[in-house]
Amino acid sequence: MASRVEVYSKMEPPLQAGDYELVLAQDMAATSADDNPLGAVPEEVRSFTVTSPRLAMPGTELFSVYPPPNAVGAFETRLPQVALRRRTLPWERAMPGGVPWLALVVLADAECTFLQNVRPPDAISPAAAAALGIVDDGSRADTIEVNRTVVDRAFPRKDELALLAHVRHVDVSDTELAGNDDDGWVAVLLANRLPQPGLRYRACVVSLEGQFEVLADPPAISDAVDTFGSVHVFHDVPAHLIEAARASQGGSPVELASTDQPLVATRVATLGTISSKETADAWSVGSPKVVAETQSPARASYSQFTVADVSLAILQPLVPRYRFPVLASWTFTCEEGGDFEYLMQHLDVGLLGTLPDADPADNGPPPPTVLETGHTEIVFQRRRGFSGPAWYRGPLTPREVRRRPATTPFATADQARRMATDGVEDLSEASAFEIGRLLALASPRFVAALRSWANDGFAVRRLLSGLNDAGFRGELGADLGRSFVLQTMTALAGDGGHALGPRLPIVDLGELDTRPDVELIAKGFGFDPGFVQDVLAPRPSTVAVPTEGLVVQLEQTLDSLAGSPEQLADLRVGLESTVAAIARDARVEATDRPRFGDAPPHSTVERLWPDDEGDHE
Amino acid sequence: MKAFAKAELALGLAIKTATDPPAPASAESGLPEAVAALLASLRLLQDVPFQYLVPDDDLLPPESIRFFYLDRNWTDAAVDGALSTGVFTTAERAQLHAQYSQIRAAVDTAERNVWADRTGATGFDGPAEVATGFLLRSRAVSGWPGLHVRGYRDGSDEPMRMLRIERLAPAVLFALVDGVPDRMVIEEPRQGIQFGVDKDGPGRYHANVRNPSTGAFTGTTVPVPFRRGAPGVIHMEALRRRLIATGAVGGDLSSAEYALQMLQLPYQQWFGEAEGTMGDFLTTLVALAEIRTWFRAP
Repeated sequence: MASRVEVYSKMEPPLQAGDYELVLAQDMAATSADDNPLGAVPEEVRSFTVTSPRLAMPGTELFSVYPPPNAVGAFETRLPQVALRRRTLPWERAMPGGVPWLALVVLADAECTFLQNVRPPDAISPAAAAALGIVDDGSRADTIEVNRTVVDRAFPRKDELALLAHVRHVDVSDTELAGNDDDGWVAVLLANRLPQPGLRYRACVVSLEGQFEVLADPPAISDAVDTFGSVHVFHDVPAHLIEAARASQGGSPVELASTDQPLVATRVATLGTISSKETADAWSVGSPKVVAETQSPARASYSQFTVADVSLAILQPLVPRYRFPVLASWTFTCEEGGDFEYLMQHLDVGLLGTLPDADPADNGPPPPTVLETGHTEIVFQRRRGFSGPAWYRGPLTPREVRRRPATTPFATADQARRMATDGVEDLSEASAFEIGRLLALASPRFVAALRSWANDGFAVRRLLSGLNDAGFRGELGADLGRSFVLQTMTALAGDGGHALGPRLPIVDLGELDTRPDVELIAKGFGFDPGFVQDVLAPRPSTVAVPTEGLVVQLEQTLDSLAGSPEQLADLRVGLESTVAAIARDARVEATDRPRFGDAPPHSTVERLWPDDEGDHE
Repeated sequence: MKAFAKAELALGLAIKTATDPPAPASAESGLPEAVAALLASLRLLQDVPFQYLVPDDDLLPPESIRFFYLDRNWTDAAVDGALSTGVFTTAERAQLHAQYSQIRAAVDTAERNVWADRTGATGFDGPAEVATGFLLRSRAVSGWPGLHVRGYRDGSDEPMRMLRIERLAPAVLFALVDGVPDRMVIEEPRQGIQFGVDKDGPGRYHANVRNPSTGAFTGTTVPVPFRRGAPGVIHMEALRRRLIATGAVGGDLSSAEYALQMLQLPYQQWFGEAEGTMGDFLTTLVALAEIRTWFRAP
């Protein structure tokens, strides 16, 4: 297998984000003792800014996240991660020590307050806003507000930041992303926290620019434990404890020991209401269309409060709070089952045409009628207006279908209609014809190319290779056309016109009844039916021709013709008109005297028939 | 005179074709490029409305995968429909009829090369064989974009040629394979491969240590330390020291090496006869120590 993954620790951009000035200065030194007549050359200064997302990031910068947004599944052995399309993004802003300025933090619902669409100065802690010079420029950003305890416990520490970002390069040619802009490079941010079952988490890509010192210092190693007890979840914190915490001056903590209880697998619905709800899909990156319900921390009501062990087992009301801009965030719930492995192993596997098991309690529409061959019954409205059933099978079949050889293409969709053995029509290929036609008509480029190709006779083979196949071995020169025509005419004459195409009959009258109607013929001519039958019989007949009742026979010899001047006169008139026509065609002058009776003048007509005088009287 | 007229006509045609040939799509076939492109995409069922592929919703229920053969008669009928838009007279119909088998051969070649052009693989020639594929409707498709799909025949480790892989809807994946595979595999996207640890018991996890030069497991495991008072939050410094202490990772742990240690193999779901061994998915080709020497400042 040629699949590989390459992992890199860091991918620094050539220039980090910020304002830059490009200064072009020239030193002019005179080579002679005289002063430099040109004087000093003024410097050229150009300013440019390298931008990078700071408080908000478009959702397109995210390639993928794990766990999937709004997913419910078994994620407790996997570190949440986010893959960013731009491989230099986590290193584009300057941070002390060259650590990445982005981090992925995973917080339970109640450990943070997620605020959406706040003004830029409110999106970051006031001290950092002043230091970075963030002003209100009309844009909006998301932010989370967390207190000191959460930062100490759940955020990465100063030395861990560098370990949690790396760059990956993957070969994508066997995925649906092949050929797109994705080149297989992503920057990956890992979380440092394993989700625990039963809780809903929010994962946020936060910006740490200007707040590096807020993170916890590298800790003592004795801080590490090999196992942790169950996560404590507190429900329904009584109001009097909250008031006591609020009212106590000097920030003395209030222990919640009285309500301490081990984790019970709870449904998502009972978890806290202090979080903000989204109704759009899971990427919340400051897009204004997402509807959110936000609560400012000062006025949060603590009833029905879910507390996770990491942060608020001890309510500390006067702990300093920090705000971190959130560039991307999503939520997920950790439970048993529902990860990729679980989903793939519980798929319903079958060939297309397999219906799911009928659920008797389901009151929906009845399942369709599907045959073993994959044909589905559909409703077909005919041209006459009434509808009826018809069979349809798409191009996806449960069995192999033998391909018909290429003989005749369909000319219309109606030619492709078939009849199934039960008398119901099968419209599969007719529908295919129509959709092919519609898709072709939707592409003007295709139609134009097809018309120009049709005008050239659908020449499939190139001109040169066609000539070679026809046996043309000559040189290609200026008289290519003439040589080609000669070869073509020779070839066409040789094989009797088969190269032009299949011979179709000129007319096809169909079957005629060639047996003549004897009665009709006898009646029409006035003959005896028996005589007509004998005449028409397919054998030589020796029937004597009756002479009475026939029309006058035409003369057979010229002697008898000479004896009947009426016929001669008619023939003469016909002869004269034919000769005159021939003379006109031959551009010969016509005479004024079309008759042959008189002596003609010396004319070309005379010369044509020099002996006319003697033949006719 | 008639012969003269015919010769003049033929000469005119010859001159026209000699000086202005139609632009062919490839050296072998004479189909214009726009025609070949649309006909090949019709063969691969691109832009065909989903109702034509799956007439009823019950044929592809949620969380299901359906395998199929591709009916070439159906796609040939669609190609006929597309060609019928350019044929109006009997003479043109007769010419199309005469060239039909060659047109089909040319479209067969073009159909194979669509995916090859997208992925940069080598093209392929020859008559179109049986094509098969599957439709997958599941949350796995929407939650894990970029699933890897491959098909294999018995006795070969080379993946079969794909004709098309596309997400028709956020949760529906459509794949076409050139040929009939004996086994198919759907794999978690490698760009989103995960990092994590293995669970021993409630609250207790361990990480398997890999050799960073070869990527193979060394067989030693390291219990994962967590921060006190913060369940689930990994104590990275302690983990780092423990990994270094095993002696298998070398003197230091950079973020790439840490990622390597945390790497979890993507899950592969096989369809067909079970082929259990995945082999060494990950083998480091270049050791990190060697890469460091490249970038050492002179």
